[in-house]
Parts: sequence; structure tokens; C-alpha cells
Amino acid sequence: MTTLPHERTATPDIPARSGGLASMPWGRLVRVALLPAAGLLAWQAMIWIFSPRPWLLPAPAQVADVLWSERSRMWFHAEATLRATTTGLALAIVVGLILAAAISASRVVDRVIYPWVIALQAIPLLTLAPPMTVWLDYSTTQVVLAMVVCVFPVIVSGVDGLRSGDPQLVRMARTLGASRAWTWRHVALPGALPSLMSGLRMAAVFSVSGAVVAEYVGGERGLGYLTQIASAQFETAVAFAAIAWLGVIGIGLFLLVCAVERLLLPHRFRSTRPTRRSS
Amino acid sequence: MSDAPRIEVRDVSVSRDGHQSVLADIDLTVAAGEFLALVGPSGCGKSTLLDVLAGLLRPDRGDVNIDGRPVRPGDLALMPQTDALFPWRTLAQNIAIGPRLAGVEAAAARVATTEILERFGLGGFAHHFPHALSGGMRQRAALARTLLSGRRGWLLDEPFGALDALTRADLRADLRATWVEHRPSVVLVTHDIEEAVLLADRVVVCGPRPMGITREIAVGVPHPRDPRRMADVRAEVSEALSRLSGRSVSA
Repeated sequence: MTTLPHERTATPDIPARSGGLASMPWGRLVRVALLPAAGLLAWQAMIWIFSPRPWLLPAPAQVADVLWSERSRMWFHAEATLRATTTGLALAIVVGLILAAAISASRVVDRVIYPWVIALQAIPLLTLAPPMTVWLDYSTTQVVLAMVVCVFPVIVSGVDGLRSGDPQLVRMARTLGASRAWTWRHVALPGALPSLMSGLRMAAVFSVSGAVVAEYVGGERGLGYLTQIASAQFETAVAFAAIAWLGVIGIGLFLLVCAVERLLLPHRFRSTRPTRRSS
Repeated sequence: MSDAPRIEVRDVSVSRDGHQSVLADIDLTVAAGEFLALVGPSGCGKSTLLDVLAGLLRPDRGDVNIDGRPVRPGDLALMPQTDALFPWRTLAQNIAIGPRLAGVEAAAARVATTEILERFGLGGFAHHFPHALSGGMRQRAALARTLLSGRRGWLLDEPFGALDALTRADLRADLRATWVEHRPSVVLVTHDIEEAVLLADRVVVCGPRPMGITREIAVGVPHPRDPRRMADVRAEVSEALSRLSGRSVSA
């Protein structure tokens, strides 16, 4: 039997593809780190070429030094921001889920409240920070602002998810004798999770901005406050260190949501259930 | 055999939005343990009739009785064309829903589930999610769920319509064997004449909207059936169907 030319050339490509970076256990991490590494290198190159004064543009090494040598000062501020962010996010998830459930369950709530929930998003919510400080103390303002900023993605993704349920599964549940409550818990809610988790990923990232903007308006603690004070005093390396901390918090929360998603939706990531569980 | 329900449909009419008639004066009785097939052109309202039979849709007129009592959702088991397995539950968890909702203890439900999965050749896939299985395996799981639901009356809505010919033949044989063993009362909706004739005791031919019954054909051939011996019945059903389409064209 003769071999066609394209068949012969096609074969050797296969092992070549599976080798290299892609098959290394750290390959994925390396690829993810490529872009930040390039950014740091470009930054360092600027320092080498232009040698600016440190208050104008500190070197990456100077920022790293601040992160370490002033770690207790950094943590003092990071802790405040982290606490406000996570409290705001947690509140947003609870309030957002309750509202999403009410909107998708009741036609009246849907008609009376939901249009305004959408319309409110048109307001740049961060501008609410100054008037809010008139009524609330700074740390409460921070939590409320973080909550307000990230409650919308929770509501909208929750409503979308709860509405996009498969009617065939609802029919099936009813003919198996399920109650309305069972159907909500075991059909509507799991069906809404993929959409909801997308909303939660956005909410996790937004919540940091909410907390930081509140710190600009007042108070004397937090990474937003620190960036402002440090910049005003030309401690630019400290400001950059605070921004690095904010990035870590944002990415950390994002990854946390992704991890929760893997726990809640194992069927999206694997073909069998990881641990045997009673049904 | 005698505990299978008798399903009675009396003068059922359904219309959409109050004017467009979908079902017109349907009169139908399924005897206890009988296998009835409903054949008709697609879009003729067969699925609407199944919703009425399942108690999911209240007819505008007429009523459906199960052993003399008005039907409620959950009285009869439903097996739709799409397997309707919950994607976030494993096969075992899916099949256990029926017994769990009926109040069976988790441990007992697990034993029954394992047993039935083994019997349907799905024993090795109990902890797989539905998306990891082929269409034929999923539909076999749906059949297992129907059987384990404990309902003695089954509504099958083109259950094998989405499968390839070989898998369909396999599943037909599974369904026939299951029915012969357990003798539930079955209403099978299909547009596959072969399927209707091979499986059913009686074939009902339905006309297009508004759907009405135009012909009833008793199959009267004992199981197991030889497809070659079914030619007469098949011809009779096809003839009834083609006369229907002729009428709908001239109308």
C-alpha cells in the first residue's frame, strides 16, 4: 500500500507538538509570567537608559525593597483595604442573590424594581463616596461603596442565570414529583451558577476599586489612602508598592472565585465526580 | 401487571391564546399494562397531548383520569427526546432523584440505583457526569430513571428520535425487554412507524392541527416480534398517515 505524501509529513508533527513548553508542569506558569516579566524588564531598561530620580520613577528593585523593609506599614494599610473589600463583596453576594431571586420569582418585583436596578448602573457610583461620608464614618462608607459597586454584576448575572434554566429539566423535576422549593434549589439554582460565577468574578475585581475610592475621600488607613499620601510626599516607591498590593488583592479574590467555581461546578471541569458522595 | 394505571382521556381540547385549537376532542383510553403508540406528522400537537397527560398542562375542556382520579403532575413518568439528565449530577445521582423524592432512604436508593445501572450496562459510569457519555448511554440512563421512578405509567416523547439508527435499535430492544418484564402502561409518541409497530399493542394515528384521532390500529402480534412479519400493520399505518397528508394538502 502506498503512502500519500501528506500522510507521511503529517505524522512527525505530533510528537513535536506535545514536547516543549506545553508539556512541562511549570509551562503554564511560565507563560502566564511572561508578560509581567517583560513589563518589569522594560521598566528596568528605562531606569538604565534615563536614570531618573527615584521620586520620579523608582526602580523595580526599590519597590521590592519597600515591600519588604516596610512590610508592617504595608500590611497595616493592606489589612484595612482587604477587610473592607471582602466585607463589601460578601454583602454584595448576599444582597445581590436575594434581589436576583426576588426579581426572577416575582413579576411585580421584576417590573417595579429591576428597571431601576439597571438604570442605577448609569450613575458613576464612585461619585457617591463624598456624600456618603457625610452620613457614615469612613470605614462604613468603604464597605458600603465596595458593596454598591459590585452588587450589580451579582444581580444581573443572577437574574440572567435563573431565567436561562432549561425548561426540560423543570418539566422532568415536576413529573418526578418535585415541589417548587426542590425545583428551585436543585434545578434553577444549579442552572444559574455558571452565569452567576461570571458575575462574581467581575464583582470580586470591582470590590477593590470601591474600597480604594472610599479611602481617597477620607480616613487614615488603607492602600488607597497610602498611595495618595505617598505620592503627595514624593514617596513614589511606596505608592507603587501599595498598587502592587492592590493588584495582589484583586487577583487573589478573582482566583478565589475561580476556585469556588471549580468546587461548585465539578461537571464543567471533569467527567466524573471527584469524591463519592451520597445522592 | 394489574397495578399499572388505566389512563383515560375524555373529550380533551386545548387551544393556544384562547383561539388557535391545538387538540380537538381527544378521546383515548390506555388499559392497564397496555403499550400505546401515537403516530402523527411533526408539529401536530403530540407533545401538547403528553403535557396534558402528564398533568403539566390543564386542558380547556375535558379531563384526564388515572385509575378514575384526575391526573396530577408526578402521577406518570416522562421520558423526553432530550435525555433531561441534570448536567451537574452524576448518573447515579440523576437516577436516584425519583426514589429520593418518593421518600426512599439514601442508602436504599443507592443500592437500587447501583443495581439498575448494572442491569442497563452502565455500572461503570455511575459516577460520570452526563456530558462524558454518548447519546445512547444517556438515553439508556433516562430509561433507567423512568423505571426507577416507581411510576407504573410512562409517557415517552420521541425518546429515541435524536439517536443514530443502530443505537436506536438497541434502545428499542431495551425498552421492549423492560416493558415485557414490568408491564407498565405506556404512551409512546413517535413519528417512526417502524418503532410504533414493533413496540406497541395499539397504534393511534393523529391528524394535524387541531389534533384529532383519525385511526386506531390494533397490532395483535405477540412479542418477540419479527420485523418481517410486521409488513401488513406497517402498511396500514403508512396508508393512514399518507391519507392524512393528502387531506392536509387539499385543505
